[in-house]
Amino acid sequence: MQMNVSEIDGGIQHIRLSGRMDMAGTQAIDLRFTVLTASRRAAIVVDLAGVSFLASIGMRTLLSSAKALAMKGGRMVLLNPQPMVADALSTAGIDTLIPVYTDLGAACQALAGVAAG
Amino acid sequence: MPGRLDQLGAASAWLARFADTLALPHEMRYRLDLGLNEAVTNVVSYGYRDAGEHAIRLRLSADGDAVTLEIEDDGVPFDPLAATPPARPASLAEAPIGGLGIRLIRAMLDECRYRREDGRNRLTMTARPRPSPGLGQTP
Repeated sequence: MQMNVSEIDGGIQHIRLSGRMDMAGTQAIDLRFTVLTASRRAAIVVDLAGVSFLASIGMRTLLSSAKALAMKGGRMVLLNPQPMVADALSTAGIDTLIPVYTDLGAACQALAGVAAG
Repeated sequence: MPGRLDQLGAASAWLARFADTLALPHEMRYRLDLGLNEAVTNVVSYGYRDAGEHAIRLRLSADGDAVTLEIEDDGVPFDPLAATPPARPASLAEAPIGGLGIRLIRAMLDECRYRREDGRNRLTMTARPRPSPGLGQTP
C-alpha cells in the first residue's frame, strides 16, 4: 500500500492512497495516515482512485481519522473510489459520514474555508 | 490456513488464483475476497481464547455461476449472521468505529449460512453474479 501527499492551492492536503487497503495494507499506512490527518485542523482530500480493495479495517482508519479531524474543526472528503470500493463504502454507510466526490474541483470546493487555521 | 492475521494476504492470493481459473467477474471476486477478509479477521480477532496455534479451513467451490466460500474454524461458537449489526450512525460524531465487517458480509454476499458442528464454526458465503456497480442502470 502506497501513500503520497501533496498540498493543493488553498492549503488543502491531497493524500493519494494506492494498493489493497486490507489488513496488511492498512497497517502499512495507518500510523503515517493518522499522524497526517488527525493531529491538527486540516482540510483533506483522500484520493482513493488507486485503491483496488477496501476492507473494514481500512474503513476504520478513514472513519477514526475523519472523526478526530472533525473534532479539531477540520474536514475530510473522499475522492474517486473505484466502483466496488464505492459500493462497499455505501454498504457500510461511510459515504453518508465522509462525503464522496468524483471531481477534485468539487471536493476542494467542499473544503473551502476549512484549511488550516 | 494458519489462524493468523498475517496469513490473510496469502488467503486472498489463493482466492485470486481460483477466480482466475474460473474467469470470475471482478465484482464477484471482490465480494468473495471481502467476505474472506472480514470473516477470517473476526475469527482471529475474537474467536480464540488461548494463545495456541489454530487452523482455519477454507474451501472454494463453484456450482453453475455461483461460487461458495466455506470457512471452518475451531474458535468459540459465534454466528455472525445472528449478531445485530450496529445501527447506521446519523453523524460522524456518533459513528462507532467498528462492527462494519458483519454488515459487509451480509450485504455483499448473496447467501450466507452458519452451522456449529463438532465443536467448529462453519460459515458458508455464496456469491452470484450481480450487475457491476458504476456501469449505469439496466433498463
